Amino acid sequence: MEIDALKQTDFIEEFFPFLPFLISTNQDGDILSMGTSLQKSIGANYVGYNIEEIFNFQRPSDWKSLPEENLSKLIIFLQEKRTLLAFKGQALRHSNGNIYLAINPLISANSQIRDFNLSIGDFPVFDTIAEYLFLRQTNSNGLREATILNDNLLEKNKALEKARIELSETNASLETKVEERTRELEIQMKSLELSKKEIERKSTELQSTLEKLKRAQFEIVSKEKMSMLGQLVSGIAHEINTPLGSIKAAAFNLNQTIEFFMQSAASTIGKTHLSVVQELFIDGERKDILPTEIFDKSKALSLIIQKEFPHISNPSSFATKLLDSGIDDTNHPFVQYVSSIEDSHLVLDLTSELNQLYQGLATIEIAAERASKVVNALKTYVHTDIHSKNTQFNLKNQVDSVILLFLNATRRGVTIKNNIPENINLSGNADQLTQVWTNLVSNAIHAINGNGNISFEAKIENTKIQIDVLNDGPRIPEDQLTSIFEPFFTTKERGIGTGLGLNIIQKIVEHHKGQILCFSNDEKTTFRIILPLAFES
Amino acid sequence: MYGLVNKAMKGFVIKSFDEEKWISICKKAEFDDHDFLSFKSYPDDLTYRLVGAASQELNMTPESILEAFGEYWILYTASEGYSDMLDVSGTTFPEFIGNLDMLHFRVSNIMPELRPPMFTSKSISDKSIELHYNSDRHGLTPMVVGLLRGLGKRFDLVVDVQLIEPKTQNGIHDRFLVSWK
Repeated sequence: MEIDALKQTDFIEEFFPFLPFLISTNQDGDILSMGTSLQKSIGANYVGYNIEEIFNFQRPSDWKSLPEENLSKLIIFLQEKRTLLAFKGQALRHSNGNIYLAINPLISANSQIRDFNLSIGDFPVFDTIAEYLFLRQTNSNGLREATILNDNLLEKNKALEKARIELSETNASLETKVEERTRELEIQMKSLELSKKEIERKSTELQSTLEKLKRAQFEIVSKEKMSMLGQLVSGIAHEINTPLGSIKAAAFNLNQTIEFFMQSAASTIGKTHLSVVQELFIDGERKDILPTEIFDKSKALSLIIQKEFPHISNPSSFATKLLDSGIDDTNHPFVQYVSSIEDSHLVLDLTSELNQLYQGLATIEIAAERASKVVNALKTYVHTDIHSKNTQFNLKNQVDSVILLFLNATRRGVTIKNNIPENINLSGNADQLTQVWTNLVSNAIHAINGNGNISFEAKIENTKIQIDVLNDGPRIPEDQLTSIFEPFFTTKERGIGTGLGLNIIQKIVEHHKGQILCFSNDEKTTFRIILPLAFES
Repeated sequence: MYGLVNKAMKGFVIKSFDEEKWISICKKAEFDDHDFLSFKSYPDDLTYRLVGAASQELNMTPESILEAFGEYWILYTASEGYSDMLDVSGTTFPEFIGNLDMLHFRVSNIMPELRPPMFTSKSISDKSIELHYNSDRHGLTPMVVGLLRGLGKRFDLVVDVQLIEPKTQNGIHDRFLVSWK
């Protein structure tokens, strides 16, 4: 059949842009037209040829096997005989008798498109074979990338795992080392703790030993000092007591002599006058008029005598002799008597001389007595025996006897008041407690610098007595309050204070199971001693 | 843009310079990952930041970087397993240019977030065409120039590209005169 004649029976070429692989034949299989892409792929236009000359039928086996009905349901496979390119598709039997085969290259990879000598532009837009192939390609690429990523991740994971194992091993090693080091440290800590405790124990022992040594040293020094002081006091006491005995004896003898003198004086002034004189010196009132007062009082008394006793020829001499006799009052009975007698001058000469003698004797006796008491007090102080027996004594009386020791000071501006109630009796070592009050008063006099007030107060509370020794001297500084009871602490000048006084007091008080405290402010300083009323050694 | 483009940028910097430069560029662009997944869509802003940072780090203008990158793109995609796709896109340079739009269309069907440019061309002579390039992205014209040169190399051709009408003048597309020998 001629080609032109064939073409006249077909119209399909107009659709080739959309169906570039279409083949149309007549019912005998003569090719009427071929799509442009199909021509490109097999390299020729076979219009006019019978389809079985160009293609091998693989399904169905030949052209004649195409069914008359339901042809479009049949899947057809063809192979171009020269190029061996394979196609797939389906066929349609048109009412005009022509058969139209819509086929596509049988390709499953991009590379096969090139085998068909085609490009993506040779496929119609609605044909998704290119997308399918691209998708496969990108899928493959994606899979490759994923594989690389997976390999990288696996490698990193391996590295991480290795690092983790190393870290774990390092941690384990570190933990072991830390545990070992901790154990070592614990052992060292325990060792140190033991050493510390041992050091503390030894330190305590050393401290205790040091305290014992200090106490022993103090006791040795104290005993030595007291021993030396005792010897010294004993010597001095002996040396003083001997002349004191002589003085007392001499004073006694002088009294006897005065009695004898008085009896012999009767021949001079007569028995009557003598009896008046004796009465004056036995029961009469006489005063201790100091020599410094004589001059002023003499003048005043002279004027009074001149006025009241105008018959006295020399009132000035009369007044002086009266004063020498211990009389400064014209109303005194002796003055009335002597002013009325003619021999008043003789009598007054005798009384003034006698008065001076008695005064001298009294002074000797008092001084000797005082000296004797001081010596006794010194002996008591030095020979205080901590083991001496306890006695019961009256506190007020004991303090009185102590105050007496400081009579000299009380004459120079020190006032010592004993405000202790009379009815308080204590049991204890009287000698030691005497030493306590003596030392406290001595310290107080030093504190007030010989001018001020010292007082003793006491009150009983239950089974204890509280005795306060107060002075109005300057405040004791706070830092000294804690030290004043320490041995050898003194604020006195070198050579005046031993620094043992308050320490001895403290020991004595503690020996009596008591307590000594000290408070000081700007107004007063108080040494408070608390003692049990009944002390049993 | 898909990570494939950014990966190509990385490959371009490492091939032309070294990995340290790439790390510096990423640091300057404030991109900490240093790598990309080919089929993950990244914000355009990241690509622009990388180009800007590369310009500073490599002391090149953005235009020259984009042109060099476009030339590299063809080489890169071929080496990354897309050689067959390039092969089926045309057996000659003009055929490939003619199929550019079809190629992008096919690819966009399998990369749904792709916003491909549109290329149309008309033949001027046996050795030249007029190419129209239209994209909703701005500033990538130099990359098209490089891409055409790189494509020419694929076909062992020396390609000359002249921008005869920039997009800014009519607001629609760039018009190139592409000739080869």
